[in-house]
Amino acid sequence: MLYYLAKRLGLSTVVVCLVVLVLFSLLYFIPGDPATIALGPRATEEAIARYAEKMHLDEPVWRQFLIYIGNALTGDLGLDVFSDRPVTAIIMERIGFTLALVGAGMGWAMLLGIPLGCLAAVKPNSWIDRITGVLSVGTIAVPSFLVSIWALLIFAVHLRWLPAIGAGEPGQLGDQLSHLVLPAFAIGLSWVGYLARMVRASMLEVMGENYIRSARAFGLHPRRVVFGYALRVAILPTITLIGMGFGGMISSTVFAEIIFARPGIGKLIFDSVMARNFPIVQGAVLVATGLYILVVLFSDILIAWFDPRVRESL
Amino acid sequence: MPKDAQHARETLLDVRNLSVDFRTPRGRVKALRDITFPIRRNRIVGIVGESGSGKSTVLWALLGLLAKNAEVMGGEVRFGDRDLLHASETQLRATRGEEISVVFQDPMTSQIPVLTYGRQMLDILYRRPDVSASEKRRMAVEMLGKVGIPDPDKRIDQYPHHFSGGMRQRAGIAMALLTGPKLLLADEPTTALDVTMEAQIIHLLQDLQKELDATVVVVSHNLGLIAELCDDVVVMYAGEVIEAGDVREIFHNAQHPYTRALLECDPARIDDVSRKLPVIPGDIPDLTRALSGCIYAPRCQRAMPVCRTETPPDVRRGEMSQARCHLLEGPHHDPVWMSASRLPPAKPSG
Repeated sequence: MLYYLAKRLGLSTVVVCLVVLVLFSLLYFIPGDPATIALGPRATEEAIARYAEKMHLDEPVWRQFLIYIGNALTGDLGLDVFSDRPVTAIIMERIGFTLALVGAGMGWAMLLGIPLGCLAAVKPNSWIDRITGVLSVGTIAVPSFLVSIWALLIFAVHLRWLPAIGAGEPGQLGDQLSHLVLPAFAIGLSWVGYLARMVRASMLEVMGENYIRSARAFGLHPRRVVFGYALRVAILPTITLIGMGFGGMISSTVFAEIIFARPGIGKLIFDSVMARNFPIVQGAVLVATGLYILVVLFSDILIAWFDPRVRESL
Repeated sequence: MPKDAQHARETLLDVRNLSVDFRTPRGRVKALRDITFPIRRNRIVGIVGESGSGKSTVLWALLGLLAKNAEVMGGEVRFGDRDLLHASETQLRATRGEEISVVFQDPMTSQIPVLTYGRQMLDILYRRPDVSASEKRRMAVEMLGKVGIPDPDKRIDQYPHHFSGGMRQRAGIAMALLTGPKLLLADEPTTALDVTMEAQIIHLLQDLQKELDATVVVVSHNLGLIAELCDDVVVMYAGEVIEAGDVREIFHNAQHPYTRALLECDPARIDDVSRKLPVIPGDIPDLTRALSGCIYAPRCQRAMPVCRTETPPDVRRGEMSQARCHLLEGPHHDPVWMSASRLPPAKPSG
């Protein structure tokens, strides 16, 4: 187990380094001199030179890369070009909003999608199965930014039930939660469909297994058979899907955060790209990558926890 | 009436006129037709037949766990004062695993891979709220020891994939006997095991049946296993009970031509001279078609014209003994056939 963890963490480090390399070269291959862009067209030669020195722009690219990696390892992701504030601090004050959004979005999708998938699998071809099937395909097909806009128009603008933009007053949990509802609904909706379809398919397969018939033959309660036995096995491929889904969701928060004007990582990346604020783009993408890797690792560990055969093969 | 009362006392479970259809895309398959046989208390009853004869379907019908496309067309299954065919799902659930328990055919697939044996066995005892969890665990450990699993207090916390095939089947038997059921159903319990394991499992079942005073039904196509293990035998062919009776009677003086042919085909009795394995010519009939006459007539070497038109009567001789053949009674009665003991199937005359 420890060996497995070490191996996974080692691999993750390699992936992070590669991501940094790609980000780094990307920013250097696109046209435009960072110093000129940062300081504007009317900056003096002297100011540009000072800036280039401060940002190590005069060093060879490979040294810049090593310096960046070295700093990143100590938690220093550089300085914001405009405000001179540390990038790490800027990301840290935003990341909570994104995590809350992704967590709430995936959370409600799981709470609804997994039981729906189970119900559909227990009674295949029943009316609940058919309705779930149609709704699933429907929600999967609708892109989240469309859901965001419609949700915003209907529930915030027209019905005025929920706030439209922002993340709520700091420190006021109720206000923050009410600001979370619409974006979480928007990014989670298609995941309800995905999860219901996925769980239904693997549940149908598992419900046909001999050990489910055994559990029935021993007279176990149907609830125990479905949730204690069948779901325990059927959930395994779904856990992987959810883990990867978190990564996909981090990128779909870009839309939701722009539409609902939430100060999260997605909006930060968007704004920074528009302003060519390279240190922030680099830092934010790096943090998002790290998050994704962590979540996938966590989902693999969760599978090992559920399945003794996987656990022992580690 | 006294005879009936005695019958009721001796009979633990009584299957009467059970018929089951399967709805398939090809039409209705009449999988079981008019199945009647008693299961006597404290006996080991064997159900034999070829693949597709419906022997496993009988077992699942007793448990009310037939496949979704199955439909019970009639009959009853008396168990105590209940009719299991018409019991509610709640009643059936109270019976399954508590009064009637099952040992499954393939221990490699019939035990859930992600739960320990301890967890699985605790789950089976869920209907006993008055027994503490530690007491349940003690019962489970004791039962695992009883079926011959070494270090049961350690192995109970292991998963099925830690056990070999034979050990898994032992654990399967322990799970089935945990609640002290009145009736144990064993669905081809040794088919998935190698020969040495098979002998061990048979002896284990025999010993436990005596020790626990249980009644056991074993479904198998293995005649050697049936001969060694069982007291009574039910011979099935294409969804019908062809013959039933005491194991010695069946093996030494089978009444029905099919039973005799089946015994001839036992690999253990391979022809010493020719080294050939005899076979019954022909196939099991298509059960989607309307059937008339004797179900075995197309393959029977003693078939008479009447066999193809008239359903033969169930000829009963005593409590358990029955056979379904025109040769045994009525105008076509053949006393020579009746008295012939271990006769090879006669060649068709003319």
